[in-house]
Amino acid sequence: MKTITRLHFLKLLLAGCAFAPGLATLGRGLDQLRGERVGWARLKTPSAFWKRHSGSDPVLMQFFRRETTLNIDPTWYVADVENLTELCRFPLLFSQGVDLVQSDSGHTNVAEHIRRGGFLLIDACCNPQITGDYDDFLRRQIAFLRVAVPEAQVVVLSPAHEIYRCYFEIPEGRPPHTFYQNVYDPQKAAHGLYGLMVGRRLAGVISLSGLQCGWDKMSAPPGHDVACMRMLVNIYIYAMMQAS
Amino acid sequence: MNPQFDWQFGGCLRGFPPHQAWAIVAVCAVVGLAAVVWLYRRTLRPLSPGARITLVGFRAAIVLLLLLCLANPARLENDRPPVPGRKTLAVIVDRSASMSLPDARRSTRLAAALRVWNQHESEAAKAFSQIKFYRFATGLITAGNLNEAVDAAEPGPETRLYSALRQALDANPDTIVCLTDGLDTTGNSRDELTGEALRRNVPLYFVAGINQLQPARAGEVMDIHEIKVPAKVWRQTQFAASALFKVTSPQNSELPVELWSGETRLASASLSVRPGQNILPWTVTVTAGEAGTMPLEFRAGKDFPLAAGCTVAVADHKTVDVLYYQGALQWGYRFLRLALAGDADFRLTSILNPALNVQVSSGTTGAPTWPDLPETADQLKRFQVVILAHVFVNQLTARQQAALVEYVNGGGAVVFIAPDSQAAGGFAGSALEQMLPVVFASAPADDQNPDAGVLSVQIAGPQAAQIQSLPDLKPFALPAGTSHSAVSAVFDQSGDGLPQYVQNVAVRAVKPGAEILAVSRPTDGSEPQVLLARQQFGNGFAVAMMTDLLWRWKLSLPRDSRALERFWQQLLLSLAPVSGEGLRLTKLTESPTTNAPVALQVTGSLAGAPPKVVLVSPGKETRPLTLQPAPGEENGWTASFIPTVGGTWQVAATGTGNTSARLVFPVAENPASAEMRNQPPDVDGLRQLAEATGGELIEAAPVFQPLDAAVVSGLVHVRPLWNSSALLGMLLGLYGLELIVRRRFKLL
Repeated sequence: MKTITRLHFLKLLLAGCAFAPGLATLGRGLDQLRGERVGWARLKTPSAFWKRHSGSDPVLMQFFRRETTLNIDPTWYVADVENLTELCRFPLLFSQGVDLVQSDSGHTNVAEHIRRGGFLLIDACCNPQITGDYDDFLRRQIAFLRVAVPEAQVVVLSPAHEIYRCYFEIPEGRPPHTFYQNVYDPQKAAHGLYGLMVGRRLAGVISLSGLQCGWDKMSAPPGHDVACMRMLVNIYIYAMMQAS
Repeated sequence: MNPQFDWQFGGCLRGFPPHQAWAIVAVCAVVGLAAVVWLYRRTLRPLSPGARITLVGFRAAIVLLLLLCLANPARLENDRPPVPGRKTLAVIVDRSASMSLPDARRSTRLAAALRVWNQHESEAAKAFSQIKFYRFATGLITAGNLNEAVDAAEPGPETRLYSALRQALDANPDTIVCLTDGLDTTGNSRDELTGEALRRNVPLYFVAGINQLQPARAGEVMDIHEIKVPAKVWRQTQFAASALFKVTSPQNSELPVELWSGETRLASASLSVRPGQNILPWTVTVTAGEAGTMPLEFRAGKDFPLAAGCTVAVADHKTVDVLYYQGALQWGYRFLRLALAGDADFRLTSILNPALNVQVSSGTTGAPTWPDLPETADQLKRFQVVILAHVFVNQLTARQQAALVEYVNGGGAVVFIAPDSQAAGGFAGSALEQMLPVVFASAPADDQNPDAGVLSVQIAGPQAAQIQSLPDLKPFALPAGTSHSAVSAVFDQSGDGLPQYVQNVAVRAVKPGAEILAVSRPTDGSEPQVLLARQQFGNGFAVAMMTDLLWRWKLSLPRDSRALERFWQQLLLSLAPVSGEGLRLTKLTESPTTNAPVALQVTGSLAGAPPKVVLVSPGKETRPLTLQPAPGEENGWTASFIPTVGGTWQVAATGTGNTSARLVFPVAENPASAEMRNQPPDVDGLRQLAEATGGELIEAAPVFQPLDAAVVSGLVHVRPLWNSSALLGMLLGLYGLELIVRRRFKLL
């Protein structure tokens, strides 16, 4: 166990006593800058895994509220792909993948949400039994979106893109990947983020990184959960602040 | 009004009188201190006297601070302490000519009012420690007593009622009683007086002077007092054209009004006229046609003997530069940008408050984000509209607020958007609020904020997906009785209907002169809340929008709907100032009569060159009028003429750039003074004014309570003093220091 000297301990104690009131004041100031309340929703699809890792979504919400002034609801909501009214209550929809949506109404609803100005975030789970081959997963998402939103294009977001630095600085402009059982996968590591562009508007992001697995504390290096949540905060804030 | 401070203890001490509570605290303190000394009397190791005193001192300080926290002291601030002997009453007597005209029974209105007031003099003397007397006709004059106020002066030629009451308010009385017939003959606004009395919290009471005097003759004195039409508008947009009609009438009647463009009648209405002096506004929403010149003319009266017109330049294209400033993270920005992105005429530059720590490129032009809102009006002038979205008061410095006020005063427009009480309430009493059309209620304390502490109670498991409990959309509604005005210039009432919102905040009041554009539509029978209001401030506009940025409405609409786009674009276009001033003709003489000079004013010829003015007599004889530069006005001229015959006269002005203005008005053979036309007393008007300020119309029933019986209750604020983080820090710090010192002396 790492030990510290007595002198260091005393310094920390004194510093804590001295600055605790100030920190409380600062935190209170942040809390007073919150905007209007918004909910975090997972897209309910025919997939059996549509709500996998949702148990840790409140951890992400706490991270949002701690690190930003976003007034996000601390719990998570369901947005059924078959219910357009439900989808349109949320400006951003989080999905494990849309390729399993087969119905015409599901296609139409996802497209309508995007065309009304909504944002779709797809994040692949790191478990190979769920996602399978990452290249194939990406192809399936693109195929769905080509059919549903033919005017949209999926493009690679370069490491210099603002999405990697609009709030947190993401090292080297590369999303943090969660590797299943912490075993490095070069095929997965090669992927960055993909943007769904409708004209000049970023209408969605496809991530193969398993960000949700990261904040759900799957086996990963220390600090990986925070790195994944930082990436997600960046995607969310970029979606919010950048219409075109 | 200075707040009064008091102290109170909490917990079990709350019910005790202060001196007993202090005594209990003191006993506890003595016991605690004695225990500390006793505990340090013997220690594990021998201590020097200095070390013992230090340790006892630390422990004693902790005990005292802890005692202070447990005693729960709070400071009481009472806004309105009862201060006996402080209340002042101002009694004001109307000494205008109309108050002294006797009726068939030789009774004057002044005598009638005095008879009523005499019944209340004794109760007023008991209710007020000091009574001051004034009289007025053209100006307010102090009098030594009631007799002096009634007898000392000749009746005046005018009744400057509202002006006199405003002067009386400057003397800071607690209550005002005015003996009058309510016939202000100046045309001043009653709303301004109401607002001033409310601001000063001074109720107005009136004693109406009523007699049986019959009107001297039937008929009305009327005038088109002012017309407001933009000099320039943009093709196929809607704009508001308004006129103020000034009518003096002996009885209830109707005033027919019309708006014409060339040979086309655009709108007509019939305005209700009360007995006495009336200032009647009428606003029409006009749709501009194609580029060119659009003539507009307001007409009024039976057979329309009055007319005032001007031309509007309809321009082809316009670029609106919008500065958007955001104080909180929310989705409205994305959807506002989407709404404006579809129209190349809008250029959006965005500033995100530095505290948000967001760095994104911004603006339709791709310009980088500005670091913060400018602190000078000059930097703001390149924008036609500034949007302040969900801003908190501590985000704007005094200089930034001053710059915004100066910017609007100089012709800019500000849209202030705040959907919650924390954001809006912080601006109560601020410089920014002064220019806005609404008065905010103060921000609630943190414990009243529904968002406060929400984190601690909502940690959900995997099965805790929530039922859709997010709030529903609520529609905007037009204010009751609104069927015209700039409202329809902003809202597209067809198709997708009026905007819908989720969150809004109630305002404390709407300022006099503000225009309410939209209100809420409560389903529980409560009063509608103001959602959108605007007012002219200086040369510009200030708008308050008390809802979210309508992004949820956009998400609820089919993708083909352009309703949100139309709303934002119309709102911003209606506010964007235009350069130049249109040609205007104003008649300065109130009631023209034969063989008396009629003064005219001409303003705003676009290129600054003097316009040509032609006079047309009732017999259709024309002659040019010579213009003289108006003193102190760059683009202003005056002219006058003496009409020799009664009838309808006409003045037409032609300026550069194909602009023109026209004025048609009647000239009477006999002088018509509003003061001497034997108008009936405006009792209803007096009653409304009194009730609007918290007073009443004094009749037979008692109205004032004796001073010692009056309950002067005020708002008491309880501010706990024990719950500060500084005190907690000090306690922990002292305890930590004591532990360290004990360790130093090897007692641990």
